[in-house]
Amino acid sequence: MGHTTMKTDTDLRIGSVKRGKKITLKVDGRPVTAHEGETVHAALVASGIQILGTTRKTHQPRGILCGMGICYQCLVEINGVPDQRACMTPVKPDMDIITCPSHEPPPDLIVFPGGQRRENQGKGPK
Amino acid sequence: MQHTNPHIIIIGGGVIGTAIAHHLAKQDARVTLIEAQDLASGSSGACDGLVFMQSKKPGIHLSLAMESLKRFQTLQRELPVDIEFKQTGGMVIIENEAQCEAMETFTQEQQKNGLDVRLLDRTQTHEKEPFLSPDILGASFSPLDGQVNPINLALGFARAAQRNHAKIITHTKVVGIATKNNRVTGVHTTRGFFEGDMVVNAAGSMAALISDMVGISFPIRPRRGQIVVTHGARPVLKHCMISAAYIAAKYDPSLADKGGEGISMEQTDNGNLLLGSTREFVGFNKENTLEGIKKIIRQTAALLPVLKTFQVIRTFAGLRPYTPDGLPLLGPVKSLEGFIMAAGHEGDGIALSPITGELMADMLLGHAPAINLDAFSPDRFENKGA
Amino acid sequence: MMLKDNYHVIIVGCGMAGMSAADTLSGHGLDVLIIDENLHTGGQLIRKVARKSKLLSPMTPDAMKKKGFALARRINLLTRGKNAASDKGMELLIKAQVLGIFSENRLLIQMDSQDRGEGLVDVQAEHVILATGARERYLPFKGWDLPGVMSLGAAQILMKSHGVLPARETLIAGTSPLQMVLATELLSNGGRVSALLDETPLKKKLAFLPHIKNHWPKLVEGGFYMGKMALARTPMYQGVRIVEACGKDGLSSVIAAKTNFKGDVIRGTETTWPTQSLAMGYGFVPNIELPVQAGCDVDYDKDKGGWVIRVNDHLETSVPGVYAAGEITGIAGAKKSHVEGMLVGLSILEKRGDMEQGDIKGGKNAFQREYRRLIRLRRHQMEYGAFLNELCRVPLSAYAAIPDDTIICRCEEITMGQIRKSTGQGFKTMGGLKKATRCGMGRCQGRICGPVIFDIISALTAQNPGEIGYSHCRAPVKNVGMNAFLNS
Repeated sequence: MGHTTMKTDTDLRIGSVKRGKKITLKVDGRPVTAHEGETVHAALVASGIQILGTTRKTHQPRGILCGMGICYQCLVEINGVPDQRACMTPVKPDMDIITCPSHEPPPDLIVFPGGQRRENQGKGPK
Repeated sequence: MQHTNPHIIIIGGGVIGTAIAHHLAKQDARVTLIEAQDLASGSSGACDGLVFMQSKKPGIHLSLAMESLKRFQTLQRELPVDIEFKQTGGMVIIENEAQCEAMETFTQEQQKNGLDVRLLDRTQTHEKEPFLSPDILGASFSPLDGQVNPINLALGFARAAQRNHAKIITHTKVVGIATKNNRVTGVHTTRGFFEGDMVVNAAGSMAALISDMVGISFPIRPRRGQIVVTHGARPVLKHCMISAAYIAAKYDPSLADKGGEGISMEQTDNGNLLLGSTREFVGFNKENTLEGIKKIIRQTAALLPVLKTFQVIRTFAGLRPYTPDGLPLLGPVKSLEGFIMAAGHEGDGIALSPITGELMADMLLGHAPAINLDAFSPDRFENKGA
Repeated sequence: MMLKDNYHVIIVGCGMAGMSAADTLSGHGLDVLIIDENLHTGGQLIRKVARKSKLLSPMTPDAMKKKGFALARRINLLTRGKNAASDKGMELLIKAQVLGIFSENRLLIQMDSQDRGEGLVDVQAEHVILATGARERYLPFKGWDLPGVMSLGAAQILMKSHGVLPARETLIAGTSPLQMVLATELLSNGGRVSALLDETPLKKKLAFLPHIKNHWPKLVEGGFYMGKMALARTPMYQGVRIVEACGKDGLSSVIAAKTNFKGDVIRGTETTWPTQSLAMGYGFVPNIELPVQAGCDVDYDKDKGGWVIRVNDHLETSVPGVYAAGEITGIAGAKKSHVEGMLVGLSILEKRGDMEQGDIKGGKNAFQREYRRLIRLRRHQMEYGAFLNELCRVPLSAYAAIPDDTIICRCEEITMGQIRKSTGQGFKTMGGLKKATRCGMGRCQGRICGPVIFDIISALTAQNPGEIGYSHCRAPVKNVGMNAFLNS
């Protein structure tokens, strides 16, 4: 996590719209409310989170641009899987979302001299 | 040479053509390079960037490569474009006992050639590359192997040549070669006629089409290599590498047909992994196939399991100029005065371009080249057909 | 979901064109598969609010949107429960992306782009209809990569699909007709519009009045929106260009300046507008990546929005059996997409010989009449498209004037300075410039910067479009996890 995410107190959801079931996501370790049917991006924006990632070379903060799965500026880590488009991914209960993920490769795939591999600890793809 | 200051026309703006142009222009020769499309738009712009010594056949081939390697450091400083040359060291990954035996013999011969290469066991290999699969047996390692940005290399040669007053003409197609009394007098192009005393055929995988224009048939055939590109990531590979199966396939095409082409992997300066490759005879078809992409991904991920967390962002394919004996054609063509071949490097064009440029320039200007090029003479194939 | 190995028709994209094609093809006993990467059918036009609310009434659909909603309902009905590989008829596959089209019309599909657990499948189709739609066009300015700066489309999706405001206050800019719609939607739903800064000068708009012909209802619609905003006292300016988006880690203000009659910024007229988000767009470009990967020929036509897929009167592309419909044959809006969807459906039915079965009342003659009617409608909508595209067009000089420190390729972080330098060194084609600078080599594969770079090269070199070229695309046309390949 490079940058702290911006938070506002007010929810940006339009009050009068009827929504899907209320669920809770974990975003950077903190609980965030979302509704079924929303994308991860919509849920993050609604709770005031604009910064989704940082650029690889100059570490500049980035948020959404196209909103329709084209620009790849909204990549976040979801349930241990890196590089997921927030704008194309529907929320699911208890999703664990990391914004501004590090670009480091996962340590559980490193082979230590001697050939043992640290066991995959339930995180990341198998 | 009849002319004290001949006008030399080079056909082809890949690494070989631009390297020759660079070395000619450096010696104040009059040189015009003609490229049908953009610079590096053929094989040079559609290949990996390995400058690999370990994949070269012991003998003249390896000697030439080692001489070429020495030039890369100088070029990194000399050329006006950052060619991203890094002597990372390279590995040939050994997966089974049979490969282990073959590589022992192969590396011994390379050592006799003066190459700094040694075998590593599994532990030593993982010390160098901790992301490699635990299932491998080991690797051969040479600190000399490296990688370069092949596009920048061609652009660098071309810009350096231009600074020394070489003419670089792109988007101009050669449509015919003019001859008189059995010597070349120039080339006809889509932008008119260019008079020249010598014509260098550096057209890579298209070289046979050019020599066909003067009725000389050479067995240079396009061989397709597909490459898969991942997103730019933090470093997971420190060295460039190929599998032992690659070496086997390179010197025995029959193996390639059985799907045993082996793989190559490198991580570029930008962080993208370039994963290769295939070796297919499909004419001038440069498409990527589903089978090719799947095969590369399966084989590379087996050796480098961290790839499972990577995403593929594109693929590409290039045509490598194959020759039956795996060696390029460098030198004058006996039957037509002033017509010179500099093509057929297959997968070695990038690595061999610096030395090829230098030796060819010397030869063209009537100086004795520093390395005897007889073994590469086009005469060995002339009119024997493909 | 299990797919069959072979389909009579596969439709890629379930927007207006794709839905209309599917509707036309329905009821003929054909195995049809419709694929879309979004969570819902309907494409970008009818981004639906899941549940209606009174306050969202300004989003009341116009005639075309009503048609769209009806089609979406019909497609959902036709495809409901059609999951088994043995079922005849129409299947719908959402949240799936087509990564490439290979020889013999084999499509490589990623079944669920959200879940890497699901692998890839490849299926074969006798006929493929590509209806991949359009995306927004951009005019980069300093700070356009700051979080909080987004496309008009992104803001609209947030509002319409999710009922979420992009921020408490939003500044709207650019040249797109979507500006007014978005402003009205924001105002009606508790959002604030910091300002509406329309890049197009009034003079240019007036010059178009004679061309508007029978499209005057659009004018009325525009007037309605203007009135709404005037009532809300929204600052509205025309002939104003965004010069810079400012802020640290996120947008805090926008600097805009007036432009002169040539479309160049007038120095000294810069004004700063505090705001939390900026929604901008400069017209549309067709999503030609998948058809280009498939080998379809393209043509450049600025009246159609740039590089478009070349089709004949039957909407067949240069690749046999591959058809194109909707925005990718020319940007012209929902109605043209609807017409082309029907047209491509009829073309395929005719080609297959399924028209003989008496499906159109009156037989072959009635079919020909319907066909000619659609061709006429298509031409008529193309004229409207030309008008729309010209209205959205930013003068080329604006691209030449982008300051050197502005990011152009967001993925690879390539600046205007690098592009200007390489262009000056002779890299004046899309392919050449890409090799020289890496622009367009990142994750989005040039979808965002490609059209921008095309305009920059045009502005700097005055070459013709054929010389500049377009970005070539290879499979996979969208990013895909290696795991997907390994699990299939």
